[in-house]
Amino acid sequence: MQENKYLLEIKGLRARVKGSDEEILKGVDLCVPSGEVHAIMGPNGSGKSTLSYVLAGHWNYDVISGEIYLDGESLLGSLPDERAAKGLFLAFQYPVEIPGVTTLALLRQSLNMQRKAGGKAELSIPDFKKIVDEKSKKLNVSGAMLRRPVNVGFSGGEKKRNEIMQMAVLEPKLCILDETDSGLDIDALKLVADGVNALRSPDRSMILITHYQRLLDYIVPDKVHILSAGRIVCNGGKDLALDLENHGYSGFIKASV
Amino acid sequence: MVDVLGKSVRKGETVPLEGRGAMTKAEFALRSQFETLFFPSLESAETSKRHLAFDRFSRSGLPGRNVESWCYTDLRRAMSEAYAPAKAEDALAPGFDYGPDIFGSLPGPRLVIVNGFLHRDLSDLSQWPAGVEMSCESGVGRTGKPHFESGGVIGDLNMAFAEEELVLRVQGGNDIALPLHLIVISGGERPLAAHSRVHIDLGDGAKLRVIETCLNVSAIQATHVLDYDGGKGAHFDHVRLQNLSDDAQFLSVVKAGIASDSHFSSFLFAIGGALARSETEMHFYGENARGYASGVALLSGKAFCDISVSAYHSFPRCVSRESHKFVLDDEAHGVFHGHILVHPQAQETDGKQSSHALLLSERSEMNIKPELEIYADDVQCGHGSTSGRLDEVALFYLCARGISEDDAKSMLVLAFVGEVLEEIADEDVRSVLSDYARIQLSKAD
Repeated sequence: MQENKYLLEIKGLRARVKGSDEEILKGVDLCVPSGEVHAIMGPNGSGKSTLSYVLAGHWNYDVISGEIYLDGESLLGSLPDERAAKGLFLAFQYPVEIPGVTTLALLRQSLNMQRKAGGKAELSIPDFKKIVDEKSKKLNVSGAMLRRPVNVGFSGGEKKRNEIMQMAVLEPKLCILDETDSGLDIDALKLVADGVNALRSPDRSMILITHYQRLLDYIVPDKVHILSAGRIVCNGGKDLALDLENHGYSGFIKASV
Repeated sequence: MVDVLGKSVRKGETVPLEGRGAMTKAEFALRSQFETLFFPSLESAETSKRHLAFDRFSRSGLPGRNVESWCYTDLRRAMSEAYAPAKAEDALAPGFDYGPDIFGSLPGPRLVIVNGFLHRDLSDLSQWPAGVEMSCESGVGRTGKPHFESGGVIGDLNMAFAEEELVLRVQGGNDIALPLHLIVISGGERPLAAHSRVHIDLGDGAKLRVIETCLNVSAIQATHVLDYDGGKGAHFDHVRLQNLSDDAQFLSVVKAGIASDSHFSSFLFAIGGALARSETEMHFYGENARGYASGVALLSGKAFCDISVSAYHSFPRCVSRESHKFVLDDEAHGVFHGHILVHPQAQETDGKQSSHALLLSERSEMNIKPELEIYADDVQCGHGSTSGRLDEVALFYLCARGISEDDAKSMLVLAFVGEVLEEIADEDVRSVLSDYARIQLSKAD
């Protein structure tokens, strides 16, 4: 067991797409203390989404070497559902449409699996409804949306709200938000940011993966890291994002190497 | 076994026959069975119809891949021998346990047909509803509607061999609230051939629901024909659960004559079978009628299931829907033929056809042949068809939400199947079949 100084600790993480020789993550080091929000910024192709998939345990990626600890416990070798049960939540860049499965059914199953893993009894339907009602109101997610098949026919904004809504219900320890700002207009962005901010707490950490500084106006991070060509090349405070906005990635990455 | 010239014939050998190539061992056996059972011929409407049907069969023979409507289902090859027809002594003992009644929670009388004959001891008529008449007839003498005449191989074999027809009649205007359950059992102590036949006749404006379970208790070669003849404004809903073992060859036809302003639906829930072929024909006999044929096939192991559906539009403003889903695991093989024929006078026809297959294994196989044959100019007809694997992206999404891979797979398969189960109007029946699908799919894991 590692010392629980950091909620998330990534050491020398190298990974590639299964069946390919090309390394996408080439030694990522990252530590996120409990309660902090860290932004990972980087240009297209820098490995941001790969990092989020590898953290969530996607079977299409092979970890070559390195370590990932969540709350002192190694995640490598755990299946995606086991990682979710340990408190990891990935809000998808492109939330998938699942015809025939309603958001309510998915949430209920997810929540009960999580409770089962934690040795708790299943929630009764009224208790479950109470939790969902409360969380959905805050995110302006209607009952009709919840009763529809997951994300089917949803707008970009609705899909992202649905992700945050699931995050709110599942109350994870670590939230990874992959390009949550993409496809959102400014009103939807504010709504989503409010939802995320409401979930900030001393025992929960978040990783915001984004291209643009804009999201960070609404969700102010404690730390900003720049990922380039599969490595974290620069670490800084929230001002780093502003510098990046002014200088662009190219100048910045050159300067930091 | 000896051929016509008195030479002995071994399994797999063929005997040349004038007109349509070689005669297989099974065809030869069918001929001798037919001659033993039904000669000498008596000059009656029944015998002549029976003989005509067998003559038609003799001319066509067992269909193989060279026959267009059987191109994926090689019955000629699959039927390497012909089992002996069931006899009276093959009837199951009273109280015979044929397994759980999946629809046991639903009310209504149970009619049990064993190897083509109504089995009065196994049947339960205690809730028999007023307004439904039942009789057992020789059946093959029926005439009147064109669709009773056209046989097809299954219809011809059935007409040639079936000795009893269960007839259910509802007089015009009667709305029968309780569903009638038909339990069609084939098989016995030995492998055998069985031919069963049911005729349902609804008067004008009558309403009836039939819930059918078809199963086998030994290796079988069976044909089963359900003829439906509905009056104007009649309303008929049919649901069939076909649960076959891996030594069953089960060939069935549902033939519907659909009158003006009436509703017909037939839903097939198919499981298993060494060779199952299910034909549904919807013949429209008036305007503004609606016909729905839909279903789901859950196949694993080496199961083979062919679903062939046709809609014949001869009158204006009718609606037809053909909607089927297949879930194929292991080396299972699914076949879907969909046919919509719109005659020139059938203007404003609305015909849609869809078939979707989910292939869970690399070794499973699906063949789909959609056909639209349209001779009218003002119609809305279309078809859609897909076959593919489980959506990996959706699977990961569910897993990332804490659901195990097996549970996530079941959820996605059930969701896939659930869409077509929605076609079943009766909520109780839908819920029984949806639970049953869940059990079947969890068995497969």
